[in-house]
Amino acid sequence: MSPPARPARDDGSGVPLAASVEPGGEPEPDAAALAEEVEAVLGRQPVDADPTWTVVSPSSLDLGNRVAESLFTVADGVIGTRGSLEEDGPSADPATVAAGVYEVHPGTGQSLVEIPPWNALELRRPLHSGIRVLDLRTGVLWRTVGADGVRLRTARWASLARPGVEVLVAEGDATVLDPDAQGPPLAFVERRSTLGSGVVGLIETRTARRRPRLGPDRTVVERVATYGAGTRKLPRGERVSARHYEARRAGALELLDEQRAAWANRWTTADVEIAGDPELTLALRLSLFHIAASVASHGEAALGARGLSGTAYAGHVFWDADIFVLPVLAATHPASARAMLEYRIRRLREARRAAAALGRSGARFPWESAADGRDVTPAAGLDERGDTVPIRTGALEEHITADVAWAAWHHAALSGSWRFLEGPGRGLLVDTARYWASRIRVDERGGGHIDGVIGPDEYHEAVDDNAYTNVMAAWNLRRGADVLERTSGGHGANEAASWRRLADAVVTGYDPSTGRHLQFAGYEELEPLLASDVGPVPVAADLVLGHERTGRSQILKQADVVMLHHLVPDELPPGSRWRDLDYYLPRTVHGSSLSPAVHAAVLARCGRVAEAAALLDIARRIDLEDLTGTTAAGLHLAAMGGLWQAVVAGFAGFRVTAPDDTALVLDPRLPEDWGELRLALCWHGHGLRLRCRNEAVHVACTRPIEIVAGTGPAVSLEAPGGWVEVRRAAGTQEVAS
Amino acid sequence: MSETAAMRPGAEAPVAGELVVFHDVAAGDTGGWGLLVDELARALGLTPSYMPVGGHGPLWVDRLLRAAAAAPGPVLVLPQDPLGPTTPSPHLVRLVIASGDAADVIRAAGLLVRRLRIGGVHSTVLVVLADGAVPSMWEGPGHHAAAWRTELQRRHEGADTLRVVGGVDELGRAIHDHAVDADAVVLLWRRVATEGRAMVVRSLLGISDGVPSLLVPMDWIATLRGGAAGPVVVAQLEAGRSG
Repeated sequence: MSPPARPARDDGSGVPLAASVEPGGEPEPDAAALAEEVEAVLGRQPVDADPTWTVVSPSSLDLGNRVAESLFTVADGVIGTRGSLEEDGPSADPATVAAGVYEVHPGTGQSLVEIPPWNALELRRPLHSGIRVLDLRTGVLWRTVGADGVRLRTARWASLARPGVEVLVAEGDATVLDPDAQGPPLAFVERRSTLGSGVVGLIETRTARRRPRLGPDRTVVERVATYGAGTRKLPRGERVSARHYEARRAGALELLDEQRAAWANRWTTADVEIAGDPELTLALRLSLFHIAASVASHGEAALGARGLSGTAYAGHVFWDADIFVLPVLAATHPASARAMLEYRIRRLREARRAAAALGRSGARFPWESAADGRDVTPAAGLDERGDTVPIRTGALEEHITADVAWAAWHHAALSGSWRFLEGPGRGLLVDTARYWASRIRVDERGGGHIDGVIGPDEYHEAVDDNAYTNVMAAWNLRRGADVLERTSGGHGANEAASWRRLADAVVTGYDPSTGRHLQFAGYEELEPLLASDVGPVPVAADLVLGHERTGRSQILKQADVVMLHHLVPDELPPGSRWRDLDYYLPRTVHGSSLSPAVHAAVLARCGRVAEAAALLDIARRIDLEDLTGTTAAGLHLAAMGGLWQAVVAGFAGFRVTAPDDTALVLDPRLPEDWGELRLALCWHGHGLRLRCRNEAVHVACTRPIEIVAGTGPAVSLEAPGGWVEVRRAAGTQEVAS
Repeated sequence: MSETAAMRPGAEAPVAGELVVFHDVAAGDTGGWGLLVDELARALGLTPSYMPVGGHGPLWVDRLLRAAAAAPGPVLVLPQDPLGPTTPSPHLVRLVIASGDAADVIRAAGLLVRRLRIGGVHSTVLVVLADGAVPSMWEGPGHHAAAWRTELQRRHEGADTLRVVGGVDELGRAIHDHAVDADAVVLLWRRVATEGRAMVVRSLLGISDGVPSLLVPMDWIATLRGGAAGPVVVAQLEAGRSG
């Protein structure tokens, strides 16, 4: 990539977007002041790279160029920029994307728009990458090349305080960093998509040459790029200009201070620390960082499977967002969770159309969603050999509809208020329930069935009565009835009652004689393979055994029945958790990045912390060790969200049930070598800091709160908080495998 | 006594910097393969060192592999056809086969492909999805497969063609397919030559009868990472090259 080009200077209307700038037409920047500011910024690089707050490359982990680029992505919820070197090179994959801005490509459908890179530097000769440090505390990516940075130093960030503002400062040997080749002082960017949306930006670069008394000349560069992204139409250039000039007036040093303050504030309700495990602590903070950076705090937020770290999966929104990422934000930054739900709310109309097109009622959300809420799941795609195969998830993977409802409910439960569900979120519960009511087939004995679906376990297609789909549909009906009764003024009572009856009739696959659930109808007639017959997990069974044989076996790709115990434990009969776990865990190969963390969470709830920790470690390594072979194309945000959920919901036992919850519920089951698990969360609109041990929890709070620790009674705590003993009633321990 | 000394009494053991070329002791003249040997050696930054090897069948393969395991670097096994290639190729085409653990083998194959490309050698890469050589996680066709294949192609930058095959049987068929246009078959291996090991290598040495096989140890490829010595050869092999 090359430094920003010199395009038009207005928005096409003839009105200048910025003061006219011609080479030589602007007063020479005050070189000394610029150099001083750049030095001041670069001087803020932390001297000590705290291993629990920094990702360093090169390091003991062999990350590889493009994997490192994904891990070093900086983003602000509006714009995401991969961590490519400023001068990139043939092996790089630089990309800058705007959240929620899609376009249509012939033959490939809707995909995220890429905008020209803003962070390129022109070097006179190639440099090695040097040492790069992503400081998660501040969201700044630092680079140092040469001893004491003699060759080049850079700092780059995406402003959390001013989303859409991106900053790069650089200082280096003038024989390497050419002060006259870093692009025009001011460049205008406009990227229209074929769907009418687009991105507008201003990129301003200031350079100066310093002539120190000793040594060669030095070059300093300061670049500020300001973007506006419109998900439905092109943003107005004047607004982007105004925001840009505010940022320019602030200057890089003040922008850095704002960045540090914004992230410090974010971490006050979003931190995790495991006293005895710095590696896991770093992985959790990395997860929280990228999740926070990928989702805006207002408006609507379309969170693709890889967030803003790459263009893989075309930026399409899957259940990854609702089930795996939203719970993290709902508990750490509710405004972002709300923005994710707004994305779904604004696509309810399309979801209703989709249901109607199938002759059904209510709203049916698409398996893959992008710009307008239509299903953008490809009908076919290449497999590992490059052969074209049909893709049926769009037509058959319907549990997404209940997943969206679950996300809305979970957000409301964490907020401690019905306001969202009774207001803008109503449709997400009521219309989805209405869909299931029209979807479920009732047999002559009154049993409710959902035929021909794909559950989370995608090895088996077009199955009947998939336990996950059925139980989630029944849950959806019940919660939809709750909301309908609260909001219909009595008119919806009959419909709500019918939903409850239908929910009670749904075939869940539970067999009292075995105490566990049947994965789907006919599952037990399949070839009785275990995961150990395929190889050490995680293993992609479909690649080892072939797709056909895998589909005829009992091998499961990922948590399916077990997933229910993580999401809706109260829907399931007592005692079924460990029985389902004992039966399905040996049959699960964790071929999906979504699987290990969920199993870890449920194992932890059963008190099987050693097994849980082993699977948690797999989840931790998914991107750090590129277990899927695709981290180069973007981070697995759902896996990151799952990792956090496993620790918080699994090991800490943080439990959320309904908006009516009056007490904070914790039930720590920690590995002995963890020592203490420290969490910062947001619950019922207030920040909390927790210290969890197996025998007690400490809650720091700013207002009175009730705590249930273990199975004990609720304990009232006054601010600033205190210790609460964890009690467990006899007989509440799960039976170990 | 080294394996190579046992195969050729009186011969000195090969040294680092040599491309050991095993040829049929009964064949005598290897001139028909000389151009190929020289081009390969130049591309790899090595000097050819010929060593005759007698025998046929599985025992021959065993002895060959033991000798190859002991060699300091790559070994080229010439087929038992003393006349060399009968049809000159328009350009030198190689099959580079990746087998074993996906992560380190893919990395090694990528390095080798780029080294060969600098030396003017074209490659077709066959990536084997077999036991122990598949990604740990696989979300499915479509998005995941596309991202995986894109990255695979990037890691083998310099290869003319990349093809993914599943299992040794499919690999054998793919080699047959591509061997028609190839001057040699390249196999990455870990120098484990004991009975029952290196099955892919054993079976393919048999399949590639008539086409030379270049065995490249994984540990030797690792030396390429540091910018191993050797001239950068940009040699375009023209059609109808003369022997």
